Amino acid sequence: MDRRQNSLEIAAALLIVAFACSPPVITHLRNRSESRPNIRRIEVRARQYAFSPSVIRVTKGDRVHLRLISLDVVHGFFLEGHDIDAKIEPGTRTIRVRRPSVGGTYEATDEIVFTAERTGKFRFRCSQTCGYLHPFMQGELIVTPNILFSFSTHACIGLLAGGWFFGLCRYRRKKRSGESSPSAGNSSDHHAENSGNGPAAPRRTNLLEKVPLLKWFFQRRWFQASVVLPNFLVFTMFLLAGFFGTPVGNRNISIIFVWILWWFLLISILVPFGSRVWCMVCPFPFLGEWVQRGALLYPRNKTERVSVLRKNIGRNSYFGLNLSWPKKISNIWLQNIGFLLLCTFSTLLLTRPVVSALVLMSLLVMAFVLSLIFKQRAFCKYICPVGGFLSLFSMTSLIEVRSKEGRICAQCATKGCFTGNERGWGCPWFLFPSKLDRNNYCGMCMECLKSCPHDNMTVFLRPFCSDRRLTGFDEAWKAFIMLTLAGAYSLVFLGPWGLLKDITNVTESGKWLSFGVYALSLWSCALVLMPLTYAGAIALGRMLGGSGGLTWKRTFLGMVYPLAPLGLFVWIGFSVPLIFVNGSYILNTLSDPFGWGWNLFGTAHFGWQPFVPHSIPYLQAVFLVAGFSFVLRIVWVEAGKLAGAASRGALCLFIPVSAWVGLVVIGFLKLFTG
Amino acid sequence: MKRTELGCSLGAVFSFVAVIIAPFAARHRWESGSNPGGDRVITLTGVASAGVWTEQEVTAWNYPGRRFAPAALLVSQGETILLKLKSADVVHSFYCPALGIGPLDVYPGKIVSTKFTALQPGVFEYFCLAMCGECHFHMKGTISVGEVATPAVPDFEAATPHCAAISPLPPEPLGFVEKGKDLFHRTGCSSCHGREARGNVPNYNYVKKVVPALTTMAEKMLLQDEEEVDIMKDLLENRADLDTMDYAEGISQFLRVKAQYNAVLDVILNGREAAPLDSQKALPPLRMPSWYGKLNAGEIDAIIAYLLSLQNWEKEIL
Repeated sequence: MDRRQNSLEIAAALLIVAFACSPPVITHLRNRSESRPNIRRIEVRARQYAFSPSVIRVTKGDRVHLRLISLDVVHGFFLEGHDIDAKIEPGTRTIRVRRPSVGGTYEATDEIVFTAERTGKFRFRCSQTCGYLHPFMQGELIVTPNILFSFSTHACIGLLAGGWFFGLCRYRRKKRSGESSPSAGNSSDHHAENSGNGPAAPRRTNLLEKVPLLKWFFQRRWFQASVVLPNFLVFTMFLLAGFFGTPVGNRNISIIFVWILWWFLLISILVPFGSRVWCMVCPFPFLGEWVQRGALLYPRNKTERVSVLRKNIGRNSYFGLNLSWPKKISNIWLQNIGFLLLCTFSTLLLTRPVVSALVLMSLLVMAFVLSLIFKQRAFCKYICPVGGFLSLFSMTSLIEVRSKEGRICAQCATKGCFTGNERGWGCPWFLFPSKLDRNNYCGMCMECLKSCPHDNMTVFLRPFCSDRRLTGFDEAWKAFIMLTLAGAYSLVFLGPWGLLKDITNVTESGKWLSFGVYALSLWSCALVLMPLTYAGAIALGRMLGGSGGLTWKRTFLGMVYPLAPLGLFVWIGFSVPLIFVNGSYILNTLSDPFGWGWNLFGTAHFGWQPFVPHSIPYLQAVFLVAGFSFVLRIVWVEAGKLAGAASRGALCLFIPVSAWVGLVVIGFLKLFTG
Repeated sequence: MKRTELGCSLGAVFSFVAVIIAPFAARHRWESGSNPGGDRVITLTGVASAGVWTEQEVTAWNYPGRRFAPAALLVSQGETILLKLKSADVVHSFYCPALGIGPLDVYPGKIVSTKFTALQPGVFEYFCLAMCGECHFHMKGTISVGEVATPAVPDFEAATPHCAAISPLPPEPLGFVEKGKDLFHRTGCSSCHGREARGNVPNYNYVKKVVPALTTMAEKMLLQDEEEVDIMKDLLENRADLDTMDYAEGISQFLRVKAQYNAVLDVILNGREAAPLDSQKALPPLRMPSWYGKLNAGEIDAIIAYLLSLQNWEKEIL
């Protein structure tokens, strides 16, 4: 009976989703029969770093005649999905056009003529390096009806409605069964609740047992040096390129490898699959840690004189002042503010090699100085701007460093993983590895794997989003900052608006006042508007469903957690076009890292070639919609954990919070595909 | 254990130093490798923001400073030069017609190499042929070949107000003609048409040898005297719809004036190629670009009004 009802409910919810998705499909089918093609004559003016009009709207079947002129320097016009690439030279009304699929030379013509056969959003991008913001210079051709956008938006609305319906059914069933037998729980949610934290949780596999070679590698004393040192050397070379290489950002390895390749790898692969594995290989703390430890490989230990011998007392010895980090700022607020500050200037950071190099170098210096003053990795844990979001997003990750059996740790008298011993350094992140229950501040240095005398530490494979506990407002605010920045970046870097690019490109445009307004709105959105509206949704839920005896903070932190996976999905959606469009620069800069005219691997002169650019919006839509359905489930489970599974309180929390999340997702869908 | 530690630490320090030195060493080798003949190498970098081809090294570090000296090259007669061209920002195009170099498109991130041997002594001008921003028209310099008495270092600051485009905008709301005058300098017209539009700027292999003066614009537009010029300026300033007018009080041959005006407009909006004197030789470097989209109708009229005001009517009477 219960099972039948369950499948009935799911079927009904799916029906709601399908029903919500139907209008765009119907429009699509209907539109096929009636089409009255128009001739559209459009003049596009290119300037640094935008096209005007920035958005061209045509109807499917229209014959489009484009005339292109440039107002300042040589620009390009690469229309994705239409096999058109033009070179627009200023001072003439003749353009040069070629078909990228055929290659070959440009041919002079007066206008580009094509028929808008496919619907959706097609971006036209500048294809001739035209200055600092060249890689982000783009406009949009929108061929209506935009099936992708309306379909994915309807799908989100459908998922939302389906989710609410499903929740309502669960609640009513619970209520009914609760009246008859109070002990009957909800079978499917029961499982979700247990997969949370704690070393005894099910569904995790000891990775090191499966791959003994990895365990051997992690337990070598030279392990960390062997991964950090090469990375540090490469990083040093990037710094050199940032200072002495070409000022052209997209031809300088420091820009392309850090902001295109590294960023994409970090957010799309390293974090979701490898937690804070970046911290394992990060070059920033390398120098400081080396000096602080006074050793690259082996731990040094404090000794004391016992009669004539010096006895190791089982504590590491460090150089430097070794002060404790002040208690008041033992949170990630500094990281939040630092990251926001850095990201306010992201346009300069992403386009000027020298700005990138200066920022990266100052982080290196800061890490060095702080490790001389404070204990261990104070910089990484409390200052590093990258650390903050790695901490948040590593909660979703598929791996974790944990103890195998709590019992062994409880009986362990020496706690070498914390204090350090002759086998390894004490946890540089001030954690008790034995009690580790979330990934947030574990830098995966693998010292505890070596120092544990009982071989009780290991790396587990686990389900996506296993850590589900935020401990403070600092972490919660990080989630809002990440969401806001993803939105702001999508507007500035992926959007067609020249004004936004001008404002953020402030050293070139000189619009300092507008930049101030931009910065102010960015900060207030990230720190006030987003948290406030979200808190409003939660407050509404509590008002309708009661507090359930929980403090406000507890409910808030519990409900903010789903924004971590949401942020990750949104960031991946943002990063996909960065690498797909600019990926070919990776090959160029690999062969000519400094822009000095080298051609090490023969790839220096490959033309700029975006990778399947017309399918990017589809990929992004899939990511967002799939991510939304996933986050929806998490919101439901978290609400259940706070207010009782399938209770009235849970339902009341679920509805407004999921609506807020839905709005955010639809907003991103609009930016990416609309 | 201590030994391994020490060895690894030394190795780390050594590899760090090696990584810092390696790029520069490799650069040296790469450059000598790409020049097997051992020719003298001259590297020019196009910098749009400064409007120069410079011999100075332009790096990410010094580029934002934006002060680079335009290259004035000295070359011995008969010497073979390996010219390497690169761009620090946007697409440039190097052209030295008198020495038969170019036009070579220089894309950022690529280095274009060419060889030349100057056989005849003299001072030859080079240009940027691809419009590269506000200072494009000032992006030129000289290659002096042979025993030139004084090295022809072009004094750009003195010759032209260097790149007027980056000079501050005039504070006061200007009169119509003054606005035209300001635009004439600011947009770079004066770089080819000369100060006060007096022309006489040499243009290699051009039919007329030099860019002609525009000081007789009023005469060419068939305006008869100063009064007619004033009426025409008023018409332009008030944005009169000349197309629909068949008659204007005070202008005797209005329809012909109108036709001339439209012809001038056509040249400004659509540009015009400079006809070569000798079709066998390289094309003239200076040509009228299209100003369509860059100058609006009001601005173009202001410039025309300024040019009309330059006519010296008294000389006519003499």
